[in-house]
Amino acid sequence: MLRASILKVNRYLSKMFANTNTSADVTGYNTGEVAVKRGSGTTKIRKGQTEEEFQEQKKQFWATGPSVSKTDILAELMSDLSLSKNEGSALLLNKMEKIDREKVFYYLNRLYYDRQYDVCLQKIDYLEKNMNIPPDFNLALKKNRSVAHVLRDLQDLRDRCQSHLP
Amino acid sequence: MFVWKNASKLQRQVRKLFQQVSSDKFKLFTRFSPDTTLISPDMTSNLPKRSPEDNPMAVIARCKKEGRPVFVAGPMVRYSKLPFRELVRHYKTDIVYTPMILAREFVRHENARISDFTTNASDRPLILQVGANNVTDLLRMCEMVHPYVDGIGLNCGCPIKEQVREGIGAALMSKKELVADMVRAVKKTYGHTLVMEVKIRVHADIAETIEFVKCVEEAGVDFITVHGRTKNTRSSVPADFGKIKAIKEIATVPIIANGDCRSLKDAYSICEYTGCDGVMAVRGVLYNPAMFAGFKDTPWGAVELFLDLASSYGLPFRLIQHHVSCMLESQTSKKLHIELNEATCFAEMLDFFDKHFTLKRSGDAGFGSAVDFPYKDVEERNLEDRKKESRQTTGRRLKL
Repeated sequence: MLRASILKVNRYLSKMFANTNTSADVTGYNTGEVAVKRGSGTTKIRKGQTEEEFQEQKKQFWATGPSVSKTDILAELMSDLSLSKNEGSALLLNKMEKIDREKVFYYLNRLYYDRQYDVCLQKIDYLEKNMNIPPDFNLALKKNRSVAHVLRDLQDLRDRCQSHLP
Repeated sequence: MFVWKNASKLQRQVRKLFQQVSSDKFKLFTRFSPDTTLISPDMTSNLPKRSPEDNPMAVIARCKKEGRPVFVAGPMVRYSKLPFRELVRHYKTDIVYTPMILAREFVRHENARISDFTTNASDRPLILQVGANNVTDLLRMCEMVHPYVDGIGLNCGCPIKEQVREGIGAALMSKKELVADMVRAVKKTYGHTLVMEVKIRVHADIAETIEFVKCVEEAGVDFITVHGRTKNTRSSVPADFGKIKAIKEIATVPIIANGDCRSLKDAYSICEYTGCDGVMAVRGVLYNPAMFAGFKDTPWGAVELFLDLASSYGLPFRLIQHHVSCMLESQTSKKLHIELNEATCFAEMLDFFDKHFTLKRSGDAGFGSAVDFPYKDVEERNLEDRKKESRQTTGRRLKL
């Protein structure tokens, strides 16, 4: 009963403040704070971004520019990651950020597309070896799911490469 | 315990709201005062400067001179990524859009920038479509991306419920003053150096749309794209080209017609009927990226080119699969189409193509130039021929 009343008051207040446009002026230059409606009908305030925070983000973006993709970008990237040039250094696929890990798989897919099955197989071996997964590592656990996916995808690609080789 | 927790939460919320009221009240009116010093960014990305020839307004003028409509590939959430943009440019598309990028996320998070916007030196003319619900986010987005694009498109047409609730997309169709403020802010800051486009839908009452168009024109918009459906019209209902025609008649800026354009013939018919300066195809180019080059169905070369571009630049497998599935739809047997859609990884999909077709790789003679599907199985080829014949006799007709 009390809970229902509180929610009712909450909804009423949100509605009232939304109607009186309490959020920052969306037509002016400010922090970009806005009030938006939720599915439940209540109003949520989306936080703003200070000028300093924005300048920091802009500096970062302008320092690197947007992601530039060109032909052979993946091969270049892999040489940076020491996969093709310096086989001695470690490339820990299981410790990588998701975005970088995806790029490694794009590279392997490109090798497969180019019918370089033997090279692709070499890279898979190298990547698996560097993951250094202990023998007692439990892949069934929820927290190890991403490692399990990586291993499953590598194994699948390995099987497909092998099927094309004599 | 529960009551206390909720009560204190409520108290905090009320306090926060009151603080906002008071701070807003005494805030100095600092409209349109971003850091507008147009310092060139550190071009570590090695992208050449934008060329005036790639300015969308110059493209529209060039096409007008050539006596033909402008061919535009519209924005598609997830699908108008770099490999697809390059593919449609190969087939005579004049202006290409990025997918809608949410300004709010783009200006705040590096990961959003990495995953949402990828480009290269040949990715031009390019219009970046923005989803925004306030002037600040839009201006900040423009400030970040203006060296890398030829124009900014404000999405006022996206009917997705989640976006509309946030005040983005079609929600803006009922806020013409806000849209005008957004356009005015961008044009005041960047002038003619950055083209500003607005993509709208029509209202049930055309007078309302005409009001809207006049309002944004006054604010300085460079051109407008009009989709011939309302926010709530289903895609199975034909687009209302009569309304687009009515808008073109009163507009002073170029108008691009959007909706139901599935072939080059449709593009010419729409422009002839509405008098628009160009036509934007979205689903049409998804199913046939070569439509503006006059191909009735996706040529096989387009499939080869797309697989090369997607694997070269890198694209998530499910996106590649969806693109290819759309390109092959109604061109292959149902059995083959299901087999393609059941592939679980890129390598499996390539094996599917190598099993049933002759898929050439870049460097192979004749790569990317075939029109007919090169089936390995003669029976499949005969089936496709029969399908093509039946499509020609029962072809879809555009309702104008």
